[in-house]
Parts: sequence; C-alpha cells; structure tokens
Amino acid sequence: MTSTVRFLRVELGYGCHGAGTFEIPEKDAPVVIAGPNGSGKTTLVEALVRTLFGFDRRQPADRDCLAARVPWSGDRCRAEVEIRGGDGRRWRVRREFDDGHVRVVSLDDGSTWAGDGNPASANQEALEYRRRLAGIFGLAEIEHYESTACVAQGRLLDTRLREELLQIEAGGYGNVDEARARVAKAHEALTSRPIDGAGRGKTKPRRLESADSEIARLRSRLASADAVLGWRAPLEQEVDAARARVEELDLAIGRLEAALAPLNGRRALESKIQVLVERQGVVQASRNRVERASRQLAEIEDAVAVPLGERYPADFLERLGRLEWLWTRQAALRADRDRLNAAPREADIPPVWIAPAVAAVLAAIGAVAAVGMGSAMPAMVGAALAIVVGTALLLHRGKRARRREEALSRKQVVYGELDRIGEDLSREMDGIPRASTLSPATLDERRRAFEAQRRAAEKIDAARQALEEELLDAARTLDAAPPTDGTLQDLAALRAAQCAAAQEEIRTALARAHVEVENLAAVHLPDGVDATPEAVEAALAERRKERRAAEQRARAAETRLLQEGTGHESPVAIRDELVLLEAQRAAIEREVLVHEAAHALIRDAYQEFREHDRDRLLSAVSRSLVDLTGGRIGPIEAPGSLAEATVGVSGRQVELRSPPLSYGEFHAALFGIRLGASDFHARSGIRPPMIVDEPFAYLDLERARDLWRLLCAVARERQVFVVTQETLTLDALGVVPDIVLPALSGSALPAGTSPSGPAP
Amino acid sequence: MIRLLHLADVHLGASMSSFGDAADARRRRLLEAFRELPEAARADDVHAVLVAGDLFDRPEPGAEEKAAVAETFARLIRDGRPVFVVPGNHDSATLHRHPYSEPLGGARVFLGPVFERQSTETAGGPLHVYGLSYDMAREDAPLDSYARADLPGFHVALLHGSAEFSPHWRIGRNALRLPLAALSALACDYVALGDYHGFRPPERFGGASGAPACYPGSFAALDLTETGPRGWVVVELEDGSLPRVRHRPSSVPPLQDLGTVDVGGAAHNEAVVDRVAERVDPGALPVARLVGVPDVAVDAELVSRRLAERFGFARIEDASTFHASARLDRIAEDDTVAGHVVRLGRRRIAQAPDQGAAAIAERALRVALHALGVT
Ligand SMILES: [Mn+2]
Repeated sequence: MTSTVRFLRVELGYGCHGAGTFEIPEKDAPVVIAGPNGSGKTTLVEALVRTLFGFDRRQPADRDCLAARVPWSGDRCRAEVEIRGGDGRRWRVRREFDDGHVRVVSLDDGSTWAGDGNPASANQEALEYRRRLAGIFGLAEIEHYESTACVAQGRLLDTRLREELLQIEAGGYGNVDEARARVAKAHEALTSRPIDGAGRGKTKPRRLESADSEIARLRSRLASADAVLGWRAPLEQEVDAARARVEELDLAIGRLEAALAPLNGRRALESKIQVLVERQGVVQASRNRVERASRQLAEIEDAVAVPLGERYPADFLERLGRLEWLWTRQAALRADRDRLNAAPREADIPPVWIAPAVAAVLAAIGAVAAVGMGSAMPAMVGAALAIVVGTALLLHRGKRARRREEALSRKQVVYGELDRIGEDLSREMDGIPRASTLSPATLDERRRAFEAQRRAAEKIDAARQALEEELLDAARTLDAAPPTDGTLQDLAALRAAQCAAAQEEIRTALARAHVEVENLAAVHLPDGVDATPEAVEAALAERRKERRAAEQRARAAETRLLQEGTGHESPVAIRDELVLLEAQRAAIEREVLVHEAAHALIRDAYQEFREHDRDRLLSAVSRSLVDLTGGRIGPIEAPGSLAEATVGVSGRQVELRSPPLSYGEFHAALFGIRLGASDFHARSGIRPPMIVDEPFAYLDLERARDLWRLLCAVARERQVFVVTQETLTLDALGVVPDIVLPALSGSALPAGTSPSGPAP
Repeated sequence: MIRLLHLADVHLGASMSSFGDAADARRRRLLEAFRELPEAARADDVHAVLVAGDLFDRPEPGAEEKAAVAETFARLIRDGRPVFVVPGNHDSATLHRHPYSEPLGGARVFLGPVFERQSTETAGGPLHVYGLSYDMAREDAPLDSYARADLPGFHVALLHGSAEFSPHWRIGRNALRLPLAALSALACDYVALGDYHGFRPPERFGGASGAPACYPGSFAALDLTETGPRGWVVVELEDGSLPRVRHRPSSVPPLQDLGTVDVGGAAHNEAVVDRVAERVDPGALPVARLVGVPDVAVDAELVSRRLAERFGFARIEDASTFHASARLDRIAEDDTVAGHVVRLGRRRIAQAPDQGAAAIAERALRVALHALGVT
C-alpha cells in the first residue's frame, strides 16, 4: 500500500517572494511552474523543500543560500506549506528561517506541535521534528531527497545507481532505531549494564544491580548471623564454666560458713574448759590451804595445850610485879614479927618453910598420883591440898605469932599488916597456876613459863588468823555465805566440804564440755583447710575473693554473649529472604536477558533486512522502470557492483548508458533509478513529490515529448513538479503551466497564480 | 477427649513483598485475621491453643504486632483457653532481642534449650505441653531431653523444626532437624510442629506406625509459592487413636493456583483476562500460567493488573506461544523489518538449547515486535 505526499499550498516571505501565496492544484499530471529566467521558479520550489527541511547553518552553501533568501521586502524570512502527508492527514508546517523554529499543525484536528526544526540540531525537539517529518513526508534528511526524487537543475544526468544509495539508512524501514531505543530504555530501567555487551554501563544501579547488592548485603548479613553461632558456643561454655565455678564456690563457702560456728563453739567450750580447769585448781588450792591451816591450827593447839590450871592469867607479869613488892613487904614484916617473937619465944614458932614444904609435898604427891592415875584430878587435888595445907600451916604459924604478940600491940600491927599482905598475896596469887610454889625463887622460871605460854597463845592466834583468812579466801572462791556460827574448825570442815562439792561440779561440767567438744568435731571442711576458725576464715576469704572473680568473669562473658554471641537477625529468616530475593533477581535477570535478546533480535533482523537492500533497491528501480516505460525497459540486474548494473532492453541486458540505450531510454532509466531509490529510501509506501527543475534543457522536441510522457507516467503515482523556462517547448507539447511567474518584478505577485487554480 | 487449636508460621509483620502493591494491605489483613483467633477458638470450642513458632516474622516486631498478639492471647486465656508458645527461627529467642522477652498476654512461652513441661487442667482433661526454644549453642540434641511425665492426661510436644521434606532441613544447624524416627521416639500423644509452610496431617508422618505429628502450614500465603488454603488445624486427641486433624482456613485471601490457562485464539488482552477470571473462586487470588497460541502478544503485566483490579492481586506467568500464531505467520511474509524480526525470532526460538532459553527468545520476539509497534 502506497500513499502519495502532496504539497497543497504555500505562503512565502522568502527571497523574491515577499508575501506570496500559491495554491497548488491536485492532479495526476505534473504541476508545471513556468516563468522566465530569474522569475523565482527555483526559489519557489526551494521554499517548498526548505520549509520542511530547513538550512544547515554549519554548511557554507546553506548559510549563503539562506542569507540570499531574506525577503526583499525586508521582512523576516519564513514560509508555510500545507501538505497532505504520507499518513493521509493534512498538515501545515511553518518555519521561521531566522531561528529554524517550526510549527506543525494538524489541519484535521488542530493539534499543534512546535519546536526546533533545525537540521543541524540533535536535541530532543529536533529529533522529534525529524521523526514527525519522516512520518509526514517519508524522509527526514534533505540529502536523501535531493539524491532521489528532487532533481535539481541539470542534475538528472548525474544520476547513478551507486553503492552510496544503500548507505542512506534513514527512515526507510520503519522505526528500527526507535524500537531499539525503546527496548534499550526498558533494559536500562532493569540494569545499568550496556544492552549490547559493549561500551560502558551506567553508573547508577538499576533493579538488577540493586537486587545484586541487596543479595550481597543479605549474604554478608547471613555470614555474620552464622558467624555469631561460632562465637556463641565458646562464650556459652565460658559462661557455663564461670557459673559452675561460682556454684562450686558457693557450696564451699556455705560449708565453711557452716563449719565456722561449730569451730567457734568448740573454741568457746575449750576456753570454758580452761576456765573450769583453772577454777578447779583454785578451789583445790583453796581447799588445801584451808585444810592445811586447819591442821596447823589443830597441831599448834595440840602442841601448846596447857591444862586449865596451868594457864597463866594475861596480867601475870603485872601481878608478878605486885607480888614481888608484897613478898618484900611480907618478908620485912615477918622479920619484924620474928624479932618481936624472938623476944618471948621464938623457938615456939614453927619454921617458916614448913608450909611451902608441906604444900610442895602435897602437890608432888598429887602430881605423882596424877601421873599414876593418868588424870589431872589428883594433881589438881594435890595442888589444892598443897595450897590449902600450906595456907593452913601459914595461918597456924600466924595465929601462933599473933597470939604471942597478942599482948604486944606492935606485934599486933605487924601481924595485921602481914595479914593484909597475905590477903593481897592470895588475891594476886588467885588464878596463877601452882601459886603455892610461886615465889621469888621461882619467879624467873615462872616468868619463862608465862612467856612460853604467851608465845604459844600467839602462835595459836596466828594459826587461827591464818585459818580465818583461808576461810575467807575460800568463801570468796566459793562465793559462799559469810561464816556462820560454830568453831573455826567446823567452818573449815564446812568450807572444805563445799570445795569438794564445787570440784565435783566442775568435774561434771568439764566432762559435759568435753562431750560437747566431741560432738562438735563432726564438721565437713573442704580439703586442705584446717579445722580452726582462723584457717576457715582464711579459706573463706580466699574463696569469697575467687567467687567475686568468677562472678565477674561470668558477667563479662554474659555481656559479651549478649553483645557478640547473640545475633540481631535470624539466619533462617535471612536465608528465606535470600531465597525470595534470588528468585526475584532471577526474574529480573530473565527480563534483562529478554530485552538484550530483543535488542539483538531487532538489530540482527534489521541487518538481515539490510542485507537485501541491494535486491530491494534493484527491484524498486526495476519496478519503477517497468512502471515508467510500460515494461519496455527492465529489469535492472547487478551481479557485480551497482555501478556495473545492466538493464533489460528488448530481451537483453545492456549497460546503463546511451548508447546502447537510446536517449529516451536513458532518461527513463535515470528517472527509474531516482524514483526507485526514492521508494527504497522512503518509509514503506510513502512517496514524496518529485521535483524536476528544467528537464527540457538541451532537448529536442522529440526527446522532450518522451520525457513529458515519462513525467506524466510518474505523476500518476506521485505529485510531480516540473519547473521550466522553456515556454516554447511547453507550447509545442500543448502543456499549460499551472503557475506562471512573471519576469523579475521585485515584489510583485506572480501573475495568474493567485488566488488559485491553473492559469488559463 | 481434648481439642487443641494448633497454628504456626503466622509471620506477623512479614514484608509480603511478592505481592507488590498489595503487600501493605495484605500485611494488615494478616494482622486482622490473627485477631480473629479467639472467635475461631470459640467456634470449635478448643481447650487450648498451641503456637509452634514463627509467630513473628522478625525478632523485633512492630509495636502493633506485639500489641495484637498480647491482646489476642489475653482474650483466648480469658476465655479459659491457655496458650502455649515456642519461638521459631524468625523470632528466635537466641537473638539479641526477641519478642518473647516480654509477656505476651499471659501465654506460656518455652524459652529453655531443652524440653520443659507445662501442665494445665482443661475441660478436656489434664494437658501436659513439652516445649523448647532451639538453641544449638546450648543444646544441639534437645530432642533427647524429652521425658514423658508419669501423669494422667494428654502429653503434647510443641516444636519448631524441620522434618526431612522441609526446605530448612538442609540449611544446617541453625534449624532444628526433626528426623521422623526422633519424632516417633518422643512417645507423646501429639507433636505440634511449625516451620514447614505446607499442611502435613499426621497421616503423612507414617500413620499409625509413625509419629502423631502435624504441620498446620503457614497461617496465610506469604509468597506466591504458598497457594491453596492456609490457616490452622483443630486437633482432637483421644486415648489410643491417631490425632484427628481438621484444617481451618484463615480469613486472609488464599492464592488459588489455576495451573495452566489456555488462551489459544484470544484476540486481545481483555479476552485473556476473562479466560483467567472465569476460573477464580470467590475470595481467592489467582496464580496462573498462560499457555496456548493466542492471536495477541499477551501483555502479562497488563493482564495481571486487570486481574488485580478485580481480585485484589493476581500473578500471571505467561507461557503462551504467540510466536506460533497465524498473525505472525502473516507478518513473517512481509519484506519488512518486522517480518525479518518474526522470521529470525522464530529461528532463535527453535534453535534455543533449552526451554529456559526458548522462553527468553519467545519473550524477546514479543518485546521486539512490541517495540516495533506490532501489537
Ligand atoms: Mn516459618
């Protein structure tokens, strides 16, 4: 299916055409633009072409040409063409030549696109314009047009079937580049790697790369989550070991603490035993001392025992003093008496020694009897008798003297005093043992006896006092009641008994304490610990210290376990996530591969397609030749290079030259090549207008007629513009120009071209 | 007779990333469905609830998930249904932080590395639950620690671990392995398992001679492989017989695997959509594989989108063979780039060394034609 592109109308502010409008008739014969040399025919068709394609300001020729097209009126250079596009729609394209800005309006729905239409630009707008232009016109590059359907003045004969024709890629095969770009864009959304495996990828990660790095992240997370397991086991063991040690130590500490009380108890018992033992010693000593003192007292008492009658009164010495005086007085008185008695009869007076002698005899008898009878009684009786007899004898002698001196008063006074002295003597003698034998002669002996007796009493007193002290001491020791009634010896016996009782008590307590100690001995101590409170305390201190250390170790290990030995993530969960993500990544990669394959497929299919370009070009040219000549010429064959192509004429292949081709055949062949190449290049089925400038130059009428017929044949398939100044030839061919431009007229509108319709 | 509600692998807070745009809604739906448990427990009049691990998808779940669990468990317990929980491997108690370090509505959680027993009196009789939290660093053979107490009542083991058919069986010591023989050796009345996301009733653990074990499967489909009904099981235990297990679906929409859907001759994508849609059960989300030779280059994305508009979510795998269509036959005849693309594309499909490569070549042809404007 083919569609023909037609120019319909043009409005110019371009070169000599200051403000001209040309309606272009729709017909299936060539549109003829005629006018004398310099009338602007070429400028008019150039305006049609350049409105669409613009000028490339980088090209000097284009630059010069554009400079020459500033309207003579001085207005801005611009043009607007209406066109029926290859897509069947009507378009108006307006170009501002100053800046290359174009405006494309759909005359069907009024939609408008405007933007940069500069052929030199490579921006998105310019590309879009060219895309649109290809859609409307079939071609987007002026070179392609000028090398095919647009035949400039005198260029037809230059037409060659050249390899270059095959190198013009643009536009002819559908939107291959666009399609590949579309695929590449979809690919680029998936991955940053280059789609064709060549060149550099994008730096920004896309879905595939994101998935890859996410997978890598997951893998490293998985590795560390797994690694935690490796750290965890030894840490757990460390914690367990430390905890076990703490428990062990707790047990030991418990045992030690439990042992401590009994051990302290034993120590208390032992000191109690010590105290008891000491007390026992004290009591024993106290008792011993009491007994000894008591014994000593008894012994002393026994040793110095004085019969009652032998005991001297305490004032014996004072009495002796007084007795000595009395005796002295008595003796003096007796001497007086004796002198007095001697006078009468002294012989009658018994001698003075009779009385003591008798008394002594009696006493001696008593003493002998006492010894013989083993009793003191006879002695005492003897003594008493002695005293009594002695006294009686004395009294008897006194009576005899007194009686003798009765007469004599002096004698009486002496006797009286003797009596008193006698009384005093007897009074003083009273209580003195063996008083009868007491005399100045026995005085010393008696004094010694008295002294001995006094010393013995003192000794007894000392012993007694000693005993009393011991008793007091014992009472203190025993903490007993103060001394009660009874003799010292009784008390001593009591205290001794008390001491014995106390000792017995202490012995019992000791025995009990020993049993207790015996019981306490059953404590369980860790090995190597002596059963003493000190050793236990030391062991305790040591174990408490170690326990603290072990506890600290356990806590440190637990902390590390918490920090290093427990992961923050579950390896299983990560693995599950990884499985999902890998599936997603596989899907993305599959899509990537799909797009790479699609991209390659389009590329390869296109290349394959292009490999048939020669055939396609030759068949397009052949077809157009056959069409143009009604089958007289054709087909074209090119077994070697295109330059050596041959054309079939009258059943044989000949070179594309004249001769062997006739001049008309040669022209037909040239047009065939032009049009075939145009078809070949144009987007499938779109046929841009053919423009032929001055085709009749140097042609004789015969040949001009042939050419005209050829152009009419072309015009059945596409719009054809014939630009010529050969009015005579036109006349001869019977052709009436559609647009006649007058001779150069400055700014005047070409006659007969406005508003529309062919000139008459 | 005692009746237990046994669930596992709820994975609250799971990303549901496979569900794409529907993931957020599904996550919320999962939480809602979980909150419905007390009503479900009441409807079946169960005596206790067993949760066999992976209740949470992550060791540090969001506040919303934790609150929902605490509240739901509290309601179950208030209704007289004690709740027993073991951690799984997604929410493992061996992790630095885990959701079981705080009370969850009064549920009884097993956190020791070896079996512990927790007993309770229920209307169905005494129940003794033996559970553990697997921690290989502390105990790598925890099953050996099982000792059935000599007490009347039902003895139930609660474990999160992988049986031989579970995908986690192969991943090493991070997951507790449960050989069938070891499960049988436990000598209890029921082994409530979690971890494997498929439903495995006791009959498939060796029957009367095997273990009275059961995997209830995941509570709701978490990815697109988890098709079919998902939920929990209600177990009836009676002395001397295998546990009777009934599967109960959760209210989270299940994925319905339609298998292959023939779209042969379909002239446009809407027709493909209709072919799939007419086979979808109410409330289900379709998962389908398109086959056949359609007259249109099926746009699986578009079809999935259209189906998702109708059902909430759909997953369409396109294995249709547009390249063999009559339409492409016609295009192949043209001397155009598209014609060449079809011809070369078909050659490449035919020459693909394997099915995967052929599928890529097939789809590449479609992408190329689409890019060239052939639809
Ligand atoms: Mn799970």
